Amino acid sequence: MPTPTYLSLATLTLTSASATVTFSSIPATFRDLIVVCNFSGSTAAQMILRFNGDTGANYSGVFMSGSPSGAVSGTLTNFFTNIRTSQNATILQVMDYSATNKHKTTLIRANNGDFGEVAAQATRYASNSAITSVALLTNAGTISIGSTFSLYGVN
Amino acid sequence: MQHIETVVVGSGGAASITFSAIPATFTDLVVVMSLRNSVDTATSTLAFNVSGGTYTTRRLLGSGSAVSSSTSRTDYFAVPSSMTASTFGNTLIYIPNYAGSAAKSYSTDSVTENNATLAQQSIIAGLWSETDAITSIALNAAGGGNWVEHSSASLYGITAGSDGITAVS
Repeated sequence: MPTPTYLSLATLTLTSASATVTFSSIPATFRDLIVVCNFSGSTAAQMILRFNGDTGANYSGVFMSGSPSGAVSGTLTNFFTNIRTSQNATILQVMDYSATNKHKTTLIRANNGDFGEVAAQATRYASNSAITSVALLTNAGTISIGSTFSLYGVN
Repeated sequence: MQHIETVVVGSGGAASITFSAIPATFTDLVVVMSLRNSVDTATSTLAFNVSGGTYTTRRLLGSGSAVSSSTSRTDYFAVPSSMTASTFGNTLIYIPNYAGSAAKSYSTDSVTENNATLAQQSIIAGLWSETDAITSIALNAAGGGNWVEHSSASLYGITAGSDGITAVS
């Protein structure tokens, strides 16, 4: 029998605007986590990724993106995607999230077809701790009603 | 993730691969494709619900020698006939909330294969303006060509829910 994948852990559709979405009590029983976000913001902003409530300078990454400004590549800390007031679709894959012997890599694909932005990112969370919570927070305004966030486990 | 359907092109080739009568019972859709065109073009078109609606996109494309950002709807999903024999393009399309009542975002990641400098890698952010549920997905070969034998596409459905342990707020 095939090994099940994309096993659903939690899902949320916002019924009121919020600046933060947090998945917590994540079981350590999978290999990777997938977070699928389909959302808009009240204003142009940046979405910040936090693991285990860690607000320290433990996040780094590289990105490449295409936008109305052209194609760019660079490094980043703390934010993983731009938020636009039109619809954003972002998919995160946290590799080996429950491992206690390595830093955590997250691969991110961020999309906004309406505004015209596409990006791919690879980030490192400099901690050997197993990830038990994932928080997505905006640094300005709020995430709009109707936005959806779903967490899956992959074996 | 649940497998819905796989289409494998036979010896006669096919101008299009189409998934139709897609049930609205999942949350997201994933399409995984392996495509080669019978003519010398790598491009293809993706169409939801046969036709209609407006597509707005942003494509980031690397060709082996250059990078570009554009709003072109040209999708480099397939290996053209001029590229190395027996190679096929590989593409994954993710469509969240495909059955919802809002416009539909989609994300594509695609590569072509060639034993030469020229090979395309692209990522695309797309938005289909229609608010209808997606009930069909068509992958059309461009340039008057056909998808060659052994080209394939598979459709999967993903369902969001809860494991009763993980919390979200």
